[in-house]
Amino acid sequence: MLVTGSGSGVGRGIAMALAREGAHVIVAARSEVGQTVADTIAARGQLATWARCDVTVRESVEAAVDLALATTGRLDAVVHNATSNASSQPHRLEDVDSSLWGDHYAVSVGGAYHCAAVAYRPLSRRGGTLLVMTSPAGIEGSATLPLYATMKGALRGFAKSLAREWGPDRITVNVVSPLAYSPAMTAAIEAEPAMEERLARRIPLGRIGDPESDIGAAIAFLVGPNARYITGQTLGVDGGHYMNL
Amino acid sequence: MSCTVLGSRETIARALATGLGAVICDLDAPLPSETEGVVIVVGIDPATEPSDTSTISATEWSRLAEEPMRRTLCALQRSRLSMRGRGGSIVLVAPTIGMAGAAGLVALTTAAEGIRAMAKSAARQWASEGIQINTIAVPMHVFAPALRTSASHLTAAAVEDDDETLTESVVETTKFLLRRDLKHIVGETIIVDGGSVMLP
Repeated sequence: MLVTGSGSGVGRGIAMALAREGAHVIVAARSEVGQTVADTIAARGQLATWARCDVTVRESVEAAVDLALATTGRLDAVVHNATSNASSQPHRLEDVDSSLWGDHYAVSVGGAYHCAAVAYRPLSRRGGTLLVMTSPAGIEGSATLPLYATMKGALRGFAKSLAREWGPDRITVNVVSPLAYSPAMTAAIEAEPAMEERLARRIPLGRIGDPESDIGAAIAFLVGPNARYITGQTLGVDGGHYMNL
Repeated sequence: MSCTVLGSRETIARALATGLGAVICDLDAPLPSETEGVVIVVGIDPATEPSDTSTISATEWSRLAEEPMRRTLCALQRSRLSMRGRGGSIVLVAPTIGMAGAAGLVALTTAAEGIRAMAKSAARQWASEGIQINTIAVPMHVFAPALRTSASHLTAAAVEDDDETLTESVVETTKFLLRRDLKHIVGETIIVDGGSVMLP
């Protein structure tokens, strides 16, 4: 199973959870932190391989998928979790220029297209899964992160159509909307410790999710054998934070 | 109210311009200054044909997925500039198919749902400037008649499929959303399709 953007945060948690469930995980990340994640998984006695992967470059995604096939002989799932480094930086829509647009689009939506185009054939062999990530911002817009919201909304349109297109091949395509600790959230909490409690109070289950045990566990279900009749859906894994869907 | 419709003359944009008594301009054209109302008909190529995501070229993907979103962003930015200091109303017209998905139309629905999220975000950011933004969702065939069969999996409309009255409903709904006295309808999507797609 291949997880993009898995060098840290939620992606790392997903990779750890899938490995714990017995998958050989391809930790697709642009930098050497991917190797660190793979080493951490290996230290647990589980299987992982780092693929240096930039999802904005099709050849890079092809190389990661090729590595998965060479290493394990199969590809059962792709989780496209990567987002632009700029995605958590507040901006105004009127100020968006080509550069900022390109940063957001290339990783989120361009990356999803590359993952789909490259992974289709290996996923179709056994009826695998493609997962993409969204957020409440993609459903109801965002006053602070309009481009992030745009891309997250776009990914829902992407997944619904792809679920219909790939249904005959038994490939499921779903969307997960997580709420969990990420490097950006952790940094924000360090800057303003009261934010953690404030956010937790708005979550019915009273806490911010853990990338591995909360988000990763849900992902492991969606890519696993017990979820083969679930496709085209958006699943909030957020402690009940967003229920407007 | 001075109103401009941005969109291709080959689409419902022409009927909207006639019904609203508005100027019609290409989606990428400059807006007349001091515009109070702008209708943005999302730029979907009427000649779009279904294609497999695994085989569509990067160029075609970009044309069908990225380009409509970027053009809409630019149209929104220009609309805001023309309303600056006075406020105004912006109505986007987009296809319903993004909400339900369709095989062979992954790029198109990616753009459609990205644009709806973009419109909601713009509505949140620009409401304080007196700019209201809402979306009307209409059947796919309004944009691309040849794609009518690509939406055949959708639930049948509750009212008879009749393009003439559908267009009339779209025009009247647009007039409603352009009203300046409805301050609390913001970032909404109103589906005008005879009751086919009914959101939960």
